[in-house]
Amino acid sequence: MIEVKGLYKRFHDKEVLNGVDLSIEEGKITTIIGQSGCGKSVLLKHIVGLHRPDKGTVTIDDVSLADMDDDALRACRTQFSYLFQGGALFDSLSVWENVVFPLVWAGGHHHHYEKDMLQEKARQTLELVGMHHVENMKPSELSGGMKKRAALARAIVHNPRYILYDEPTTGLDPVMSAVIDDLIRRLNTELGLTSVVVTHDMQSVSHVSDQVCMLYDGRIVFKGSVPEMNQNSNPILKQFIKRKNKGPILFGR
Amino acid sequence: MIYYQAMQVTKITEFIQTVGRFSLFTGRSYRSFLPIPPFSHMFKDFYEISVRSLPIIALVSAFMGIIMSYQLIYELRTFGAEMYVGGIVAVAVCRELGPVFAAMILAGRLSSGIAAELGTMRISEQIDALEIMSVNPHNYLVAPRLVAALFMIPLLTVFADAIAIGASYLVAGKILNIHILKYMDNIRFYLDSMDILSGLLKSVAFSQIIVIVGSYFGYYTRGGAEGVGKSTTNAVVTASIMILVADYFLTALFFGG
Repeated sequence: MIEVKGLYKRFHDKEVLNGVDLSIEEGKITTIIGQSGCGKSVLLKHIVGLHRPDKGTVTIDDVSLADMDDDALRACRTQFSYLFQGGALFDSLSVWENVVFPLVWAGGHHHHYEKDMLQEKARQTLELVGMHHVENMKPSELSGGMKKRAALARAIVHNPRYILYDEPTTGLDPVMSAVIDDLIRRLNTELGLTSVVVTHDMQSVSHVSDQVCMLYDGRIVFKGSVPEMNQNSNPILKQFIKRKNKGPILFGR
Repeated sequence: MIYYQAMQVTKITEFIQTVGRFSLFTGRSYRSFLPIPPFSHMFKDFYEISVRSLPIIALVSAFMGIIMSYQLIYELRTFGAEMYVGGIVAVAVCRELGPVFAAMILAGRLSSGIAAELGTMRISEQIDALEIMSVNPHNYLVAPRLVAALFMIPLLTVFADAIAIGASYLVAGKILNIHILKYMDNIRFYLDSMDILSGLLKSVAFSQIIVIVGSYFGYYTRGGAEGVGKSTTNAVVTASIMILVADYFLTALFFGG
């Protein structure tokens, strides 16, 4: 289980996280919503130890990331997958090489497998995300939606326990957004993954979330289910989900 | 005045921080040699450093040898010593010009290429992706290049030395009408093993500077396409300066006594 307690993070003179408390329930999809630039991705990167907090702790199964040395952190990260906003596919590798990368480099060591076996595994995983006949293409030849799906295939190939999505539907057309949302939901139910989704796409939130958290001014100001979110009277949350330009949320904050 | 002093203090602090961060980066890169990267993964770097650098190294070395020959013959004629041109060229090329010229060219070609590649990987979150997949970015990105440079840059230096000496003979042979065997004899008389060894040891040091500096600036790239451009420029400038500084210390070490 992932627990975030009293997390503070400042970049230069900007306080981004200001005492975040959050617990991620096992086997559920937790969505973190908030304005652009409010620190959602920063929070996500703290969960996998890509950022170190100024204050506060992130614990995985009651072990704090801060107490882990590099080897322990690397071992812990084998339980995670992360879908980056732009996919973060490796340009120099083909799509199939990208997809099986977490297997070939499992635990940070290079493992030798039969090429045919790896290609077959990549093909099967790509099929899971609805992609066919793209194995030998380079990431630069894929569209934005295809890149995200290929990155998603890479994220699930090694059966992780947790999968973190950083704005999975940003920049995609509505149809492709729905495809990605379905995939997130399906992976959760079929593979039993625990998912954390960072987004400000409210349609996506309604579709995929078991639990919604809103980050505002560096703190979690709401936590609950989608129906609870829709009925909540918090003016910040109401303004955000109803897309109003007037209210307590200040433009450019 | 106070503002100016504050700016100076800030710059000095930033410089110290950069030196510290560079030292840590270098330490981490050398500690990351294990597990040894697979050769299939290093092959691209061997190819990039050696085969793809050969034409430019050959061209520059050939011109270096030709120009040196012209200049030396012109000057040595004053003393009637133009027959010694082969020995002087060989000593100068093997000790100093071969390693330094090759390193400067490779700093421009490789440091910039490495900085641009790693910088692009940094801003497109590919380095973060490596870390999340439990892969040590130093082991995956820096160690193979350090190994490849360690072997290939000294070889390229030997190649540069040979081309420069050969090209110098083209001029000396034509102007002075010296037979190649006599020219070679002259080289053998003046050139000793320490000249060659010192040049090779220098090229080993330069090879590591070229890779580490390029990797460092690429790894810490910030700020999109503009950041990649800055990293690339900084990598070439810093690598060139560090090569010259290292050359000074190594020359003092080998020939200072």
